[in-house]
Amino acid sequence: MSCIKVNNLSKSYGSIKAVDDIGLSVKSGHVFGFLGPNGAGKSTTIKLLTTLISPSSGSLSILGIDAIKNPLDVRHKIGVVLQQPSYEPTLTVEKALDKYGMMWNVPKSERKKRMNHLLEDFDLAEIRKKRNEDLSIGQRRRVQVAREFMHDMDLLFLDEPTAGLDPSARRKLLDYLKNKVKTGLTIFYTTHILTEAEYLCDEIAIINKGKIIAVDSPSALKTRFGKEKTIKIHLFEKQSQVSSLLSEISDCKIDFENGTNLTIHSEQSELILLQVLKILNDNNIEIEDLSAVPTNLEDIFLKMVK
Amino acid sequence: MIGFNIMNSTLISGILIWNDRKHGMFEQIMSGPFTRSHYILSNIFTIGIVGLVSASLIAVVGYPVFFDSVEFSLFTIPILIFGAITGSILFGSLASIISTRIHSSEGFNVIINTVFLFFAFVSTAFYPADGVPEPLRSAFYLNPLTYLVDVIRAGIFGTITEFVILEMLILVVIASALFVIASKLLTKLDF
Repeated sequence: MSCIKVNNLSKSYGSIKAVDDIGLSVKSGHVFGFLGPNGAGKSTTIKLLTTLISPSSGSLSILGIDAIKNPLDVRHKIGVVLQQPSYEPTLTVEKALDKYGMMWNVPKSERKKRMNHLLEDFDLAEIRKKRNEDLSIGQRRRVQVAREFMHDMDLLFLDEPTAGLDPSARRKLLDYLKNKVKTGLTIFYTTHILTEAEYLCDEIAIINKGKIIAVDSPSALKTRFGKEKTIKIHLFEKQSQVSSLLSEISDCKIDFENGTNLTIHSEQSELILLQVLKILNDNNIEIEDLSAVPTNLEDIFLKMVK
Repeated sequence: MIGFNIMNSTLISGILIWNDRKHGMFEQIMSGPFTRSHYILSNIFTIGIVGLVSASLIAVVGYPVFFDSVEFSLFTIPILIFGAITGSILFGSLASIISTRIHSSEGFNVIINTVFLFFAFVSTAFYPADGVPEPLRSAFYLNPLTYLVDVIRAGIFGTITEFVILEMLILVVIASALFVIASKLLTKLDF
């Protein structure tokens, strides 16, 4: 069943189309990654999906509710962690969690229970009495994300939630989210960090200049767009003539740096490698190191948004 | 003083909106199950409590002074409560409108202080309308604080006249209009 269904959705600001005729379908119980460079339209899309702003045209169904006609009904069922920090400076960490739960009408005993769990899960127990204004950026971000779990929801929107977190806190958050998904939660996740998307997401959409340019699972995206492989060769010593020796090889792109580093990009990398090795061998050029670089989401992403 | 204090407390409404916008809480709250009207009303409710508590303190402190003239009754107390509620909504909405239109906190403070000082001194809050020069006297009745002060005075001293009832109606109309405008302007705020 689709949790989010978007058809021909557009949002314009004057003559600028921030979101241009996009279509999406997000399955329940999945993590849907939404990737794109700065200014691609990610945050505008999240604001449209969370009903913070209205679209210029198109249709939008969230959890089976027409989000344009009944935005308030949608907001009762979703959680949102926005990209920008949001906090009340003078509240302590535990008061911030408790007050947020109160805002969502969570009963007092339940609030206390959830708060204690979240303080542990997000490593906030030691700073529970600290005021928000006295926290580091990473700690404040953890409070912001933890706070959202004070209330029940069917769908959670996370707009770059790991911004400002250290690698250990980032991994802990991703694992926490993975566990939440196992309980039936659907997550719409935007990030710049592509390893995160690869680790967490079941499906990924790439947006650029307001348009969605690809939607698929991370592995399918790699298969579809990652045919070109990269091979790196480090020569034993500087060889100025290598560039001209290899220039006759076709169907590939060879970069030669510092006189010792060769990088070969090709869809037929195995064949090209054989040719390169032969030429190097014929000219008595020694190789110190050779490695094949596996295609990752980052390469695909950079290629697609170029 | 009570009417003036209610108006002054509503300054907080604008400051609350400013702080929420500055710290990202306005957008966060608006992504929850709340409307703009809920948001303004909750702010006004907060400042209404502050206004009522401080107005009550003033009344307690000033009670020995106007003890002989006080005419509390079952009819006058609801008028006092009416004054406090409509006054909070009216000036709270006005402060909210100003806070949505001004883009710097310094500008907001300058404008709100100028507007509220004008309201305070071109009204019957500190001196009666009788005896002041004609242009100023007319200006008094262009000022909603005058109506609020008159209604609260009528509630304390039991001097409810037809004119006071008209003033109550005017307060309701202005408060409703400003509340609608404030809600609309909040809707138009960029996220």
